[in-house]
Amino acid sequence: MKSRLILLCVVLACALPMPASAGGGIVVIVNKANDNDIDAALVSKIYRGDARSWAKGGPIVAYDLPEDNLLREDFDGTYVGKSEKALLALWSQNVLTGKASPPKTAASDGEVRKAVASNKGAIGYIQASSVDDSVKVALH
Amino acid sequence: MTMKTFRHLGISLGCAAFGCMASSGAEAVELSDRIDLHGFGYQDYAQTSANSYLDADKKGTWNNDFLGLVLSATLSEKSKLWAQLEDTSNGGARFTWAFVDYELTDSVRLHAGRVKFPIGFYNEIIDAKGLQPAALEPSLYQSAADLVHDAYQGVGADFEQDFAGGHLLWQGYGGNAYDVSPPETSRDRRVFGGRVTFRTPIDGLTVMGSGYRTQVQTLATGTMSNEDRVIASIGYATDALDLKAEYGIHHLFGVKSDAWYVQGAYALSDSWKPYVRYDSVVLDSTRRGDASYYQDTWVGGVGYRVDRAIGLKVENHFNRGYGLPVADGSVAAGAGHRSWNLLVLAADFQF
Repeated sequence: MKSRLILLCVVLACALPMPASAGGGIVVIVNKANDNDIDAALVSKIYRGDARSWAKGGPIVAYDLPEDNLLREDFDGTYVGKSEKALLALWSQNVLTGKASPPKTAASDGEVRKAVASNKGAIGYIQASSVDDSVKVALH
Repeated sequence: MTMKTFRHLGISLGCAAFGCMASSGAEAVELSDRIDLHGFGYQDYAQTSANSYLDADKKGTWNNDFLGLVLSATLSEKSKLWAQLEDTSNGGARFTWAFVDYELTDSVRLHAGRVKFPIGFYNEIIDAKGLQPAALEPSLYQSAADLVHDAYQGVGADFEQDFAGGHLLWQGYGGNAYDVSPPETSRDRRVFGGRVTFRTPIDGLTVMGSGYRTQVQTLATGTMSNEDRVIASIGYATDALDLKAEYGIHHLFGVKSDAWYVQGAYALSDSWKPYVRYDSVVLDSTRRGDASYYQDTWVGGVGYRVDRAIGLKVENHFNRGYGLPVADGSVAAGAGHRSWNLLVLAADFQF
């Protein structure tokens, strides 16, 4: 009986959809030349529009994945602390009242990595398995 | 209620905007690396049982519509130009606001140009109906109540800081009040004011105090008088729930008016959001019992989001008193109906 239960659990676990971070989890990446101290609180501020400049100077250019990307949903909940819906409403208000521009959208992990690698002030998030030596991992 | 209509230019811009939405999934239109275009608009149908107001009568009107295009252009690493172009029925397109924003530090920002008055929860989003639960804003913000202005022309500064586990935003400004249709007998001259917004450590709970003083010149005599407006606000918002309450007062030429409301909206799903509001406005505090000078309103309605870009609303305003129709000249004092309804059907879009 016990072995059947274990088998059932294994089957159910396999049947569940894979989480967005199945590729090794989310990592926050910045340009290799970025030597600012970056913690989770700062990342949350950046993606809520409360931080626009790096402490050591220069504008922050944040990159998001597309709205239907599961990693973005994971990132919004884990790092920003808001649902994607709440963030969309927040950014709509920021934009339509001239407060701040939302993060730029890149089509894929590769596009985010490429944008961050080529812009000193850029920050983004990708799957850990997509990291290469063109960018620096700031948080994981 | 800001009542602007667009016709020739508006319709063509509207078609362009809908075209942009269709091609961009309702996100910003990136004209270049440095320039983004957003926009929004609405079309209302309004019908009253009595007391002609907002152009509506018993047969109804489609005269309440609006189109705004918001442009942002990056000028340099620290500066940005923001502008909202709208079309009006009384003189074609105009800039509702247009200003340059300069980031002095990460905590301090400076603005110069024509800026929407940062007062209360609503003034800056008054035209963007997609950001509001109801189709018509609270009485406090309706132009007939004259409790808030559109915009100021001058300079302003914002200072942000973390405070007591939350976030504080201090805003101060000065210049001239900008009025699309200034009264014939007086002119607003200097203005100064500010707003303090505290996003508390309780996620979603915000408290706010705001106000400004204008100097009003009576054109016939040249005399200057002070006009004061103050609003206290509290709001709590989660993914599903949106609660707001505000109280505002206004003083001019020895006459005091005040208004307040309590509003709640609850998202039953991604599409459906019913809402209810109680609104009260008294346009002359010495005549509180006179139905020509007060208006209490229960608003009940439901919003339906077709998708992220397009929303529909139906709501009814159960009014007692007719202070707002008297204030905007639609009904003569003493000649109106004390109890009346206003039905509104609305469609809005944003991208």
